[in-house]
Amino acid sequence: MKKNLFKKISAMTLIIAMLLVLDVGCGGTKTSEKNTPSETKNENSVTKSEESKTNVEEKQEKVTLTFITWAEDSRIEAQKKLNDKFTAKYPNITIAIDKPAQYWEKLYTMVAGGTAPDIFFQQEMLPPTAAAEGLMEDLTPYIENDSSFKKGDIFEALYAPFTINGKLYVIPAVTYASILYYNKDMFDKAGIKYPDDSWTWDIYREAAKKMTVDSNKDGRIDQYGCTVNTLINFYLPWIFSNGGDLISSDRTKCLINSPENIETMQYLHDLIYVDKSSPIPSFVTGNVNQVGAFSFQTGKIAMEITGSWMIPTYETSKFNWGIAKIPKSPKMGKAVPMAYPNGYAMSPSGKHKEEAWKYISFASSEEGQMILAETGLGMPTNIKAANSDLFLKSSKVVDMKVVIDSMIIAKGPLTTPRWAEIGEGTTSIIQSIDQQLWLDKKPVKDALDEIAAKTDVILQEIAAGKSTKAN
Amino acid sequence: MASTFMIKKARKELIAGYGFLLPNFLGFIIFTLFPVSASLVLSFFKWNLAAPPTFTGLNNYVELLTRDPFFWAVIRNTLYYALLVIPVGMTISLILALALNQALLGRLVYRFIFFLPVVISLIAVSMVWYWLYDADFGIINYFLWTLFRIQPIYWLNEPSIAMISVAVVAIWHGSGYNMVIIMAGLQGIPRQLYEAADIDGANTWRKFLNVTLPMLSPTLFFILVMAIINSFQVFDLVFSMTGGGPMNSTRTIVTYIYENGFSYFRMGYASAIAWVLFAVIFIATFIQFRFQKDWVQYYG
Repeated sequence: MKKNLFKKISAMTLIIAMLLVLDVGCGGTKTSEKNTPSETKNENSVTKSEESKTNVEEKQEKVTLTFITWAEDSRIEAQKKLNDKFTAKYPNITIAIDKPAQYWEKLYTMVAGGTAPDIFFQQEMLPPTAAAEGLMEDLTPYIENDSSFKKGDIFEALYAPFTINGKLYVIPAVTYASILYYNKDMFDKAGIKYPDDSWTWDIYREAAKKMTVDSNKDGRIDQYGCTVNTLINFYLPWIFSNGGDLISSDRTKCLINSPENIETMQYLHDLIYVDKSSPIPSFVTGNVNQVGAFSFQTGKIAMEITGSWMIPTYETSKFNWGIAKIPKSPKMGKAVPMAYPNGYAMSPSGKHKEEAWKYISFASSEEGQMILAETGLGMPTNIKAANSDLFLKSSKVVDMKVVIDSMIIAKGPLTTPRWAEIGEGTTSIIQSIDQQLWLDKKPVKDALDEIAAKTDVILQEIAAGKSTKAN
Repeated sequence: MASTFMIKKARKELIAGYGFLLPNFLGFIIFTLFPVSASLVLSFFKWNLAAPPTFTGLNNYVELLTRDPFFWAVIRNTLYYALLVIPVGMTISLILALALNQALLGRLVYRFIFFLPVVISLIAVSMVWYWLYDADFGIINYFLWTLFRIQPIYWLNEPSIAMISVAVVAIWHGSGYNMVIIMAGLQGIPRQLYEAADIDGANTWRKFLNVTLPMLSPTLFFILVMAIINSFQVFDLVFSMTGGGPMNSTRTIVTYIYENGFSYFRMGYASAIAWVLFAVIFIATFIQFRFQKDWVQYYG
């Protein structure tokens, strides 16, 4: 294994070295080449579209767009169906779709090799980082020139994570919202009414306490009322609901230690260590497993708040369960679920940007979104497609209307450049320090203060022009 | 006549010899020598993959050794790992080898069992141990609870024991390999030395101390050198089981190289760390060779 890994690393180094040689060799000419063809290209495509109006379609060159993404197999199948429909509409454009195992490594290697994919998938936490690194084309002009694309057709909240300094870099393709999953059997047994829109944090906390039981009285809890998910992406809806935020709206300051956030985190901390109604977080630090063991699916947890992507997985459960909107903060009187949109981004170095935009526009339209809606994996970002029967009836167990209602009141996260250092991965600032809070090794306020102080150092560096760690 | 024939034959053999060497040699040049030298060059550049590299001189090294807030911590973690794995691992391997070198009933089966972990992929190993270690459903905590009523231990989540948990897996995985090497060393010890010791009336312990151990010292030296190199390079287990957490307690040198390379995309900086690691390993190995004459004895 070690040998294999070593080989892998050396192979990777080799590729990098080769690219380096290539890059140094033709770096100078490349940049000058880069600008001119794309400019003329734009002119070309304008004349081209005029031509196509006058019905000279055969003249168009054959174009193959490269597209890399991540998704469940069934969603890849749906995406391929979508691609076929797209090619039927634009016979000169075909899509080469790929689902690399090491997605981000692959993307960056492709970019370094000068063969960046025309279109690639992007998630909700990393856009500012990718934008700062120059990986994404500003899509705003394309939207303005495309009368078929209407911004209002897509849920409003989904644009926020993808908009940086007024420029939109990613078009939402699929989304998830945080919802409350609950085990109906446990509620029935405890005689508690199922969660509804009236639920607040206090009701949630009391219900969790009541459903935490040591049934065989051996001194060890057998059933927990809830489980606190300790990843930043999962506790953000709590922070949002209580009127807090992670980063200031101008992305220059970390707000995680604000009074309302301290209150929020203290509440979550107390669910674990005061009420003991949540198991001590077995947070996933390694890379072999994506979910902690003590999950809702074991049937030993009464309530869990996480993304709507778990619905297909939980449908195989042997117990009765349902979903509801997340509880409201008593102080703010509202619940703000997190929106987890993924979407299409375009490489600035692509040679077929007009064609790539056509694909993105088609894939996010109602027609394209209806094809994806059938899978029931992830909610369409197009409002009409989301409200179609295809999506609403995609679950045999739960009412998908809850997901749509949650999405309407949801908020997308705001992050910053250099997110790999700040919040992504177990050794990042946020995660390595909030672990002290989740393990009860440091008072909540101290941990949050430390996160804010260390994050602010990086944000100041970014403000001073060091917008990528490598610069 | 004969001599020209011989020369021709010799030349043919020479060509054939190099011909057979060529694939391996080419592989070495392409997959080892070239990337290694390229990474040395890269360590003087900054490069984020997206933009062309720019030369920065010794900046990467200066930052690493003077300003990097994590570098000394990852060195400390790596040394801690080495201290956990090497002494215990070598002792266990030695005991296993001595035991399975006896005329023991079913020793082939035991050898097979103890060697088995070596051939299992480390990723599969970490998957299995991940679940053994699980705080709520893992079999280890289950036994601790049913037998001794010990409350769940957070093997991989508790910063003070996460590295120990990883080290246990490493020892479990690696002992079989060292066991086989030591067994080979044991079989190379001439019988007459034991016979002479018997005549001198030495008991088993004396024989072990005065015959087995000194005769085994070249083998043990080899294992020690390799173990130190491997410990400094620990990556797979840590990466898959803990990813460097919790609270950075298992972040090692190579996981830090990986993070810099493929999370922060600082290829030049990652290369610089790799070369510092090389220097550390080189010095450590050099010191061992310098001091080997104090304890390593070669027979004959």
